[in-house]
Amino acid sequence: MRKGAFALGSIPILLVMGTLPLYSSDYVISIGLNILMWVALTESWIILSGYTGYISLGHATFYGIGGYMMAISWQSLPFPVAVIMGGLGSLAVALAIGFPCLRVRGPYFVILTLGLSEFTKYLFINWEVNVTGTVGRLLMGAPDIKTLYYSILVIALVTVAVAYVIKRSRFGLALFSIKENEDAAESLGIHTSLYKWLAFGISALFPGFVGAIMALRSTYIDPYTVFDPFVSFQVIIMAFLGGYEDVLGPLLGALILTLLSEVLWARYPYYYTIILGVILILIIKFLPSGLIEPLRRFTALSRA
Amino acid sequence: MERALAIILPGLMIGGIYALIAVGLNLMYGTMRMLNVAHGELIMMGAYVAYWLFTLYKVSPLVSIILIMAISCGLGLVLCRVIFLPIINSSKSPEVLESSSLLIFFGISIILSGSAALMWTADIRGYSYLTQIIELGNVPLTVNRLTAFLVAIAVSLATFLLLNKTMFGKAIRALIQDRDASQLVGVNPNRVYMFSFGISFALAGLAGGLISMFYEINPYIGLPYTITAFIIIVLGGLGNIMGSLLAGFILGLVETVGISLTSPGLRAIISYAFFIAIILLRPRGIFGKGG
Amino acid sequence: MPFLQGEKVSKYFGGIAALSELDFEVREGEILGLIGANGAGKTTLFNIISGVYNSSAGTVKLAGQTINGLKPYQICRKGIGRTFQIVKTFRNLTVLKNVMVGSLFGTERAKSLLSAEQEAGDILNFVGLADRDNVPAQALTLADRKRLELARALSTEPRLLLLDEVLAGLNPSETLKAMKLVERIRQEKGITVFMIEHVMKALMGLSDRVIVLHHGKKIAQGTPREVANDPRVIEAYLGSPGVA
Repeated sequence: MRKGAFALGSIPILLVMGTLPLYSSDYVISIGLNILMWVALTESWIILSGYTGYISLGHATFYGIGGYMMAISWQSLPFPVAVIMGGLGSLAVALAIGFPCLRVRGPYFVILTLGLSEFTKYLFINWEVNVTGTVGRLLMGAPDIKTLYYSILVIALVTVAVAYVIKRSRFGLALFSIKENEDAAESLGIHTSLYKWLAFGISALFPGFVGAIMALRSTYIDPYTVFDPFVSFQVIIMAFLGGYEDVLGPLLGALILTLLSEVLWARYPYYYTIILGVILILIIKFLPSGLIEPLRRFTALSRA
Repeated sequence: MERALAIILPGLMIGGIYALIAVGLNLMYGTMRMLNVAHGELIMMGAYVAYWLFTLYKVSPLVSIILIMAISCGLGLVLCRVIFLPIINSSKSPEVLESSSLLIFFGISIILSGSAALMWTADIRGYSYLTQIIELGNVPLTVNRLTAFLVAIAVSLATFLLLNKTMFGKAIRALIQDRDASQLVGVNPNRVYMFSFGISFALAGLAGGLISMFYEINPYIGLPYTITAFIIIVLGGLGNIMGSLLAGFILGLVETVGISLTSPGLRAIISYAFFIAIILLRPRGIFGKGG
Repeated sequence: MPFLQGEKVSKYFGGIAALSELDFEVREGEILGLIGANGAGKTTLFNIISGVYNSSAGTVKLAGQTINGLKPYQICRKGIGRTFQIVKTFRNLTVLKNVMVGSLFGTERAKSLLSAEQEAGDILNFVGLADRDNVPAQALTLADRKRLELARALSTEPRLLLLDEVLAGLNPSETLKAMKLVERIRQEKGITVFMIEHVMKALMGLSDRVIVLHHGKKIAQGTPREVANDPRVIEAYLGSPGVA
């Protein structure tokens, strides 16, 4: 019943998202692009943090690495290959640091990921200053906005699909068991460190793709913008706003906050950050399962 | 010898401030397992208040720190009463409480830095106060740093004595040891929580006021201080106030010595690398596996 | 050859010995009881057998094969299941999902979600929780959560089950039901049981043999009757009011 409703509801949305560039102004396309970008980032975040409870404040790390992979390979590789390089670069870093990092639990993991993200940022700043002698990179000859839009659309759809399939799989059950009680999960035969590591890798892959594509969208990147902790902050708040245990939550959170930032960010950026903080506090305090929870109760009621 | 002293003394000076910051954070994390990631933003706010009082009304920061501590303490009490006590008393498990309180503090931190940027712009600000130079064993030091150091150490020690020599301090430490058992012996946890919030916030505000005397400020200086304080409390031991004091000095030294051996440009990388190493190397030490 | 055998097993925390040079064996098909005052090292021993801790010295062998040094998930797949002194059910997952986890991951065989679901259903039937399969674990009573933890351990198809105080906190009628369940696990499923218990009467009735730990050392073992009359045991328990 719910599955059917979900499929039915997603058809018109998919149609609109798929045809948007055909009849819309560049401004509308860019809003659509932003929404899709945050959908992909937030959906990928819940695969680790929503499903296992290892809350990461470092998603920007992988977004930034994707961006830099693009900056390095853009002149020499075709666009799709460069995007894939972005994802693989982030995946490789996540897999390399995953095992030691994921031994750290609770608030220590949260603040560790934040530290890692800042550490990476300063590494790149240092690299730019001392090795390449610049502050940032210009990316010339980027594809037009429609190409970028469709690329992000594909990434976003794949991310949602992956998050959906994982949640309903054996793998997903392992991740949720880890979140519920890691010691018990281990005692029931779950190779917890392996599953966490895989989830961390998958969760890092998609922001790598997104970062690579968005680097071309902005045509200029530097470490301050692509490793901006605010990227991580927005992801976590979108996930908490919508709900982080199911694929629908991030869709909702990304849609609402992207539209809000569209209205506020350009003219009142500080109001926007303050509102984000207030939203986070209110959600944690009053709606720990996110907006998806009352919505679900409402639809259940109206069906009855 | 003199050259070594020229590096060590400034390291100790900043170490004293670090100690004060860490003692404040430790008071909360030690008693309540609540990691206040907005600690740095409270420092930032304290620094702004001192800056404005000095710039607009020529109030000495040594006077305004008293006001700042009162305001910060009040803010701590209000937040504790309105936001945190309800979630402390209703949360299902310590793990849930740890992560939800961290996220709420995180929300508070972006509200504070956003508000500071909104009210006072993101410009870098600073003022000059007590910039005379005195020599300590032939090492020149500015009076403002020395004063800040002395105040920081005095207050940190006072906090230590408060926790270790008074009845209320014993109650707090009982709570650190065992939340359930302390209730049996008649400690009211809610009062202890309020008290910890008040003191911890006041110490953060104070640290901000002191820092403003010799460091430039902007709305985003908070996070590095939070990270620094966190390193110190992990090094010095959770809930261990004297440990924080000593570890504060150690970190101050490590930083100044590290920078003098490499370059100031590597400062951020050095401290974040140190931070990551501390967390990664001590996960078992921090958590144990229990029972 | 004993089914599970420990030789000179020691565990130190800091400088303190929680277990010192403990020799023990569990025979196939028996119910073996483990008693001792708080801090005697009972749960520490279970944690070593199940791989949560590495022993500081000594070896543990399952059917002749050394198992210490293995991770908990590997030990589980070797056929040792366990419950926890403080129940660790997955509170927000349904009862059925709780049990499915063990049946999916606890054995070496690969399974589909569907067949795991069927197996889990069978086990819930066996322990008498089938009618509650769709409620989240946190909605259960303590007795039922303990029963669920047993079901979950059973779903990993163990040959040996380590039960850490499954009777603690239960009222008399719940205790009786739980005892019957343990007996049925041995009889109908042929699973060897090694259990820590504070409820002395229950343990004496259930177990074939009993081991007594005191300050990390074994001070007695034998049939319940032999142990109950052992002067060292009586001495160790004198003035220890926790033991009924």
